[in-house]
Amino acid sequence: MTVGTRVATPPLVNWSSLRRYRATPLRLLLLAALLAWPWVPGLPVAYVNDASTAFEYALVAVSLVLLTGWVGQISLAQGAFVGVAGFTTSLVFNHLGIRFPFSLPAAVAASAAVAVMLGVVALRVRGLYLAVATLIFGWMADRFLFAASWFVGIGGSAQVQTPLIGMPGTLTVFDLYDGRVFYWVALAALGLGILLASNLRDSKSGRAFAAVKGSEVAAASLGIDVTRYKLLAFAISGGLAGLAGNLQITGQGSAVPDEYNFLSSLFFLSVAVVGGLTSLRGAIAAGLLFAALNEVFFRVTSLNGYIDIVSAMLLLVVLLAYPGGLAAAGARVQGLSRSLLRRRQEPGGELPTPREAAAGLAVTPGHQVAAPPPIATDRATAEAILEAEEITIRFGGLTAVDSVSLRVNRGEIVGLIGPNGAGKTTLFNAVAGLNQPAAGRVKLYGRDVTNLPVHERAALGVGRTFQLIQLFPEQTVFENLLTATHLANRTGFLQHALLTTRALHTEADVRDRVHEVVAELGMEALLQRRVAGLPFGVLRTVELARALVTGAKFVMLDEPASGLDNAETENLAQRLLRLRADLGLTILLIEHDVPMVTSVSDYIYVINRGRLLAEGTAEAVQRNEDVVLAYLGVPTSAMGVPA
Amino acid sequence: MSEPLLRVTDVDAHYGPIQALRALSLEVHQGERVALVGPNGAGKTSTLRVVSGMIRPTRGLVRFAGEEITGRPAHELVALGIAHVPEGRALFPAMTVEDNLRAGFWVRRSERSGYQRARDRVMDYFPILAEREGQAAGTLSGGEQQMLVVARGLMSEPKLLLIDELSLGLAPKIVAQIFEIIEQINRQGTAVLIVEQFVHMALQNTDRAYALAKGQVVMDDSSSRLLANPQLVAAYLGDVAVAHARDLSLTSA
Amino acid sequence: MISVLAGIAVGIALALPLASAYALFGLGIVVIHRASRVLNLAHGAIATLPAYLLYSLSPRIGIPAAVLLSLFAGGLLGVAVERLVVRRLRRVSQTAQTVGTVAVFALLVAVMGKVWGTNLLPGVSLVPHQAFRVGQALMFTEDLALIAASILGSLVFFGLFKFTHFGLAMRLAADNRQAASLMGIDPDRTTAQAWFLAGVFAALGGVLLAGESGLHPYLLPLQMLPAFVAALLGGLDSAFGVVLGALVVGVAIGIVPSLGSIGQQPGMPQVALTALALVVMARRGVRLQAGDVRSSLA
Repeated sequence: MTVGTRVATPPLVNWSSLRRYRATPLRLLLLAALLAWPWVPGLPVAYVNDASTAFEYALVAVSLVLLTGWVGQISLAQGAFVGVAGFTTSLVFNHLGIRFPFSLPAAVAASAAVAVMLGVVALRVRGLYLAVATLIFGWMADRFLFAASWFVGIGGSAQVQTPLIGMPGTLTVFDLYDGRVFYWVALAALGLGILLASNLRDSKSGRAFAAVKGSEVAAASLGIDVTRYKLLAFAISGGLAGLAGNLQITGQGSAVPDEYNFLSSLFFLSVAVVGGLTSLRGAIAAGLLFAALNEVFFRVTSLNGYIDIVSAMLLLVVLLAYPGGLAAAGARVQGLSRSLLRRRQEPGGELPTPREAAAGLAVTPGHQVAAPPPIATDRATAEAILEAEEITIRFGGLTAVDSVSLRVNRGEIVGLIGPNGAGKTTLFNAVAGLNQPAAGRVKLYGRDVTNLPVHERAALGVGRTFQLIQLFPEQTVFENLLTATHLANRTGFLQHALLTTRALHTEADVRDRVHEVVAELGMEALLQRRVAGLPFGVLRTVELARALVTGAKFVMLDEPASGLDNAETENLAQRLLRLRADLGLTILLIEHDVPMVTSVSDYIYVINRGRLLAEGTAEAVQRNEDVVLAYLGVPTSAMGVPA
Repeated sequence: MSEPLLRVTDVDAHYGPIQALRALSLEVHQGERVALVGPNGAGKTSTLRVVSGMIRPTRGLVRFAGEEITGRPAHELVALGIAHVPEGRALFPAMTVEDNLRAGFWVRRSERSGYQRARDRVMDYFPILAEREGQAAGTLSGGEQQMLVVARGLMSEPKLLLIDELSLGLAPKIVAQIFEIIEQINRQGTAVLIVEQFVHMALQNTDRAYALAKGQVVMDDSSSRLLANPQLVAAYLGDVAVAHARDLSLTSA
Repeated sequence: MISVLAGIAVGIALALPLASAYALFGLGIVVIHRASRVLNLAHGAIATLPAYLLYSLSPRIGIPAAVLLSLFAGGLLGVAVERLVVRRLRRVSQTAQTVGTVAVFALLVAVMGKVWGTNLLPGVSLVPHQAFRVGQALMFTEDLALIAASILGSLVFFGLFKFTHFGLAMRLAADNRQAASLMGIDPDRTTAQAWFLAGVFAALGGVLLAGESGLHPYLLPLQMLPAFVAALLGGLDSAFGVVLGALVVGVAIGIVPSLGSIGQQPGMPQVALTALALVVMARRGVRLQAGDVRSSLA
């Protein structure tokens, strides 16, 4: 059991995660306004229809917020997904007589399936190549799918009958041809989409999405199956776009392929970007804005034809000057109004400055650190956590690592050192799963993991840190740490979407887990700070904490002292010794700071020019003439010998 | 005492949140050979980058040949007479040896006749390059590549030549060869500032040296005196190694 | 059998003008990618606007002067996009830069649509119009002009890069930007020069293509899309590769319709090209590797 307090049984419902459903006066007002809109006296039907259009836009924007904003997968093909759903709707109507809302499943499934196909492409290409791939894909859909008569219908135009749900004369009749009824249906669909996305965002799935965007390597090291989450994101995004497509054609009664071409994909991207790309609220606001602009530019004759220019300009301006979009503007207004209304300060007062927080992290000197466990006289028989056997790694014609074996036993701190370019990092990466050895085996906890992908190795109980810090800068420290609870959290995506009790309970449990590690490291003051502003030494500690939150008992540290000054390095050494004693950790670290490594390691391996040069206790290694030769270029006997 | 060719004063340098240099100061005089030694991550490469303009210091001053050059971009400093041979051999791998040399001559490209003369000069220093003229630089051996980038640096006839980790991945014999050639170059008047991980090589081939650790200068002396200073070993390997060295000296005495 | 082969041969001949246009656009795409590591998705629009300018200016100042102005305008447009959009977004990410070019595309298309309308306008032909037979089909002098222009353009392109200081500087900056600055080359300047050159080539292609297929604010830029596929096939950094890629793409578009009933379905060439492009990209694609680890905070 660990240090730190624990509250009694968790409440049945975790109110902190339901906070967003709190009925503030502002929200109630907005909801009332939205519901009442069609009943405003004297309101022309056109304005009601515009609002429905706005909801459709917003829904597609939400699909992009999820895919591009949260998961970082750029899509220039969203219009194609909408089109696939639209034409599928017409297909099932014309061939099978199925009408809305029963055409929904087919339409959504079709667009989700097409999106997943694109998702498979996204597994292999990144960034701008993905953008081009989606562009080409959308172009192909436009020229092929939407030109095929079997899909689109004869004459290139798809027809659908706007349905009447229910029998006239009975209790409820939904005539979707009536603008008002359609309005509420569209509003409900948007609400559903927002609810789904919002539930996901604050859950384990949402954090996994953000991790994929932030750093795929870090995500994998936390046990996140990047492939699965990317495909899931494409599926959900495609499905949401499909929902909008189904609605759109149902409301219009017909559609032509030109509605879903590349320019429409650009338009939807504009809506999402102007909204702020990562914000659901922004998506709604942007949808309303663009629909309103559409109406205004249509009505005012002198502005006719300028709508496209304006929406393109909006996109450019937001990209270049106001990347936060409408969401950021809204947040600023909120901040201003708060200070204007002089709301009471949140209890707890000001957040501590990073410097204060860093001071709090210092390991108190004189803290009794348990003596390191005596090295088993025969290391080869002790319980091994990591065994690397005869690892050879080649890049092209170059042999970077040549037949190196090393072993880390339970409870040990093992150092891996060597001059620049010796192959330490390459070897380290092979153990972590980022390199495929040409020969040799890697065994973790006695299991052969040589062919196991990174996220599955993490599931066995291995954590790691990175030389180049891989934290998520826009999130708080707490949110970064929470992402590491992925493996401990056994709930699935559906449970997150539906916000089941089990999901809420698990969420509470994993948050407790984070608090325990935080208490162990003394990081309470830092929790709510954004990672982006913190000093470098603190960041190293946060990344270490993140590895510990996974629950891993074996932690691999990649140059943990790099970039730290003398005091911070000393602090780190003390901390590692204490963590090993208190948490029963096993540690492997690469380091260039040899004095530091020798002060914490029970055993050291020295790599030079891809080969194992020496191994032994810290003292033995330091006395080893070959090691000195490797580092300084000259044997000790020739160095510093006073006359 | 004339003003040094290069004077770096109280320089800080950052890579994002990481501080690489802390109030670092050093000097190089005309015609000198100076070494920067120290363990990995000490700030040696960052120092060269500040001098050549690859990174901008967040604080402090750099003066070269009587002019203040703090914060000026790299492509302007080449014209002033600073040539930087970066770490990892920064070649133009897809381009021929000839093209790489032309690249080095770029700042003097208006001197049409000068090119042939400069090229002949560097070919004298590194005859093996003449044999590899038309080959793509990326296909040369490690030693040849290192010679090429030094040769390229010389094409502009710099006043100060900065060389970063020339021994990386090279056999000691070739490294010694190149150091000899650098001595010749230095005798012709070019000042040299060398970063080198292999202390012995660096100190034997220079007049003065600075030892760096964690972004600061911790030792500063003539190379021969540093070579005999046991504290240097501590900076790399810790105190046990120093004690060991002392033990050895007692037994070998 | 002979007729099938003859059909294919005719298909290839008919595809050459289009392939030539793709080569001209593709060269610009490659030059930009080498300089800025960005795929300029606005390239098609940068090619089209000068064609519209030619259309409006030539009645007033005569064709030759208007052509020169239009080409220059294309270059300026390229530099403007680089300086105002692509460079500003450099510190955000490569993806943001690419989205920026997409935004520029949308803006240019919208502006052209507003100023000149969305009806198909006749392009200005730079050569006296004449038709002649190739097998069963017709070819025009404009087609020959395109082919000639692309051959000439490619030669000029290669010559520039191989034999001039300007070309050397651009090659060096593209090969290793940092090392180039250590040679005294201002990488920002060479980048601007690259975009200017790309803009001029795009304008040339756009003007000639418009002479053939007419002016449309959206359809004409979209015709350039296969040029991206050509560049991808050629390796994105190779001028020689993109020219070869353009031939492959042009021929694919020309031949696929003669490959039986499946080939004649609308959009089949696009499907074939998409499949090809995706396969090429995937093969060159990245698996999660150590080299991917860059600091998320830098």
